[in-house]
Amino acid sequence: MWGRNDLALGRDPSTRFLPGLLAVLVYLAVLAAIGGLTAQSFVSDWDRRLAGTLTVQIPPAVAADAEGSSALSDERRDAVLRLLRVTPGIAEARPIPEAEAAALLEPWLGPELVGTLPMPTLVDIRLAHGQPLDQDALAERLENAAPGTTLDDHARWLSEARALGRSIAATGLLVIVLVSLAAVTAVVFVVRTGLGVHYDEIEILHLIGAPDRFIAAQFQRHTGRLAAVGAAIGAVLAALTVIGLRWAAADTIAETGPAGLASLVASIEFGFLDWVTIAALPVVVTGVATATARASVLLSLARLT
Amino acid sequence: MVRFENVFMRYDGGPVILRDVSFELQPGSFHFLTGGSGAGKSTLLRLMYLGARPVSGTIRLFDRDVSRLRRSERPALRRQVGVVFQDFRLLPHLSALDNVALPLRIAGTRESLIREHVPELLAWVGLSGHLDALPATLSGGQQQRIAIARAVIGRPSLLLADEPTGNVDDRIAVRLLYLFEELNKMGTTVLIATHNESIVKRFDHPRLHLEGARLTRVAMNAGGAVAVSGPAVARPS
Repeated sequence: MWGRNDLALGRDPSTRFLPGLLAVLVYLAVLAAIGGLTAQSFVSDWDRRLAGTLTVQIPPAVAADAEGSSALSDERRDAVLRLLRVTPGIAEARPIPEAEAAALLEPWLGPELVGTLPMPTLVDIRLAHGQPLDQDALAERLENAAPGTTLDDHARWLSEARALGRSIAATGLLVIVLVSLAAVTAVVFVVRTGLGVHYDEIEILHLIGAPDRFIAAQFQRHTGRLAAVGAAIGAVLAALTVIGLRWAAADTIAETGPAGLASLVASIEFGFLDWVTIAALPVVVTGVATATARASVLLSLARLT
Repeated sequence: MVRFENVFMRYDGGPVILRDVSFELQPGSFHFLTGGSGAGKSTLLRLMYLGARPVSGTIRLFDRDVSRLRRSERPALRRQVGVVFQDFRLLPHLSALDNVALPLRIAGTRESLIREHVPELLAWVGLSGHLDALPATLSGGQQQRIAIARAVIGRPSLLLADEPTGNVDDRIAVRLLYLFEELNKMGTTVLIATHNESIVKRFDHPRLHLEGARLTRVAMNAGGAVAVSGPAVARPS
C-alpha cells in the first residue's frame, strides 16, 4: 500500500481536498456510530435492569390534615406490602424511600415542586425466578387492598425505549451509509480527474507494457494514503469530541448534580466490541476508498480502446 | 517476428498515411526505415508497438494477429517491444534512473537488480553523472539517450526507434548505433526510423523506404532477411 508511485498524483490539486473531506466524513460516521451504540447500550441496560421487576405505585392518601394523610398513606403502603410478601412468584418487595423517589423526580420537576407536591409511594418488586405470576390477578388484589394502586411492568415504557433505541441506531447506520456513499463519490471524482490530468503519462506507461492493474495500483496507493490520513484525523477528532463532552458533562454534574442530558452523556460507556466498531470505521473507510480507486481506474481504463 | 499484410492506415478521415503496405521482418534482423518527413515512418512504428490500429489489413507480431488481441493481452506483448519515441516521452517528474527503471519495475524486477543494471546502462550511454537528474534539466540529446536506455533496459525481442539520433552529434549517434547492433547480436530484432543518410550508409543493414504512403522501395546494402510482398511493393533482388 505504501510503495512507490511513478505517476505524480500528489501534485494534483483535486486530490488535496480528499483528506479533509474524508476527515469530516469519518468524524460524522464515528459520531453517528457512537450515538447508535450509546442508544443501544442504554436500551440494553434498561432492559437488563428492568427484566424481572415490577413497580407498584400507591397514590397519596388525602385526610383532613397532613398527619392524617401521612398515617393513612402508611396504612395503605403496609397493606400493599403485606399482600405482596405473601404472593407466590414475588421474591422481594422493597418500598422506595420518599427521599429516593424525590431524587428520581427532582431532575424533571425541580426541587421546589418535589417538596410541595403529594408524592405517590413506590414499591419495587423483584420476581422470583421460574415462578409464574398472574399480574392481572395481582393488580385486582392491589386495587382491593389500596384503591387507586397500579401495577407497572414497564412493558410500554421499555417498548418505546427500544423503538427509540432502534431508531437512533438506524439513523446512525444511515449516516454511515451516506458517508460511505459520499466518500465513494469523492474518490471516483478524484480518480477520474487524475486519469484526465495524467492521460499522457498513463499512455506512456501503457506503451512500455504496463497493464491496467499497474496503473490502478498507483492510484490505489495514493488514494489509500490520503484516505488513511483523513480517516485517522476524523476518528481522532470524533474521539476528542466525545471525551470533551464527557468532561463537560462531568463538570456540569459536579456543579449542579446529576440531571438530564449531562447525566446521560456522563454515563456513556463502551464495551470492547463497541471500541472495535469505532476503531474499524476509519479502517473501513480507508479500505472502501482504496477499493473504489482501484475499481474506478480499472473500469475507466477498460473503456479505452 | 513482424508481418504486415495489405495494411491501410489513416487517422479520423485524414489523408491515407499507409496504403497497402506489406512486409515481414525476420527474427534477429536489423533494418532502417527511411522516408521523408510525414512519409508515415512514425505511424508504421506506432502500429508495430500497438499504439494504433490499422484501418484495414493484418498485422502479426510474434505470431499473434494484433487485431484479435484482448486488451489484457497487450501489455505482455508490449513488454517484448522496446520503443524509442521521437519526442522521447519521458515522465517529467521522474529522475533519469527512475525513467529508465520503469520497464523493469512494470515487469516486477527486484529493486536490487534495478539499482545494479540501470546505472550501468546510463553510464554506457554517457549519463553516469545524471542518475538523479530530471529530464527538464537535461539537453535534448541527453533526454534522447535516457529514452534509448529505457527502450533497451528490458532486453526486448523487438526494438523500434523513431529518429534515435535526431538530437545527438555524429559521435554519439554512432555510439548509439553500436549499442543497437550489440542488442541485435544478442537476438533483438531492430527497426530504426531515420532520415540520417550518413548513418544509414555507414551501417550495413537493409532499408525499408516509405514514400507516397507506400512501402515503395526496399534497398539492401547487403544480404539481409527481409521479404516484401504486395502489388505496390518491390521485392528485393
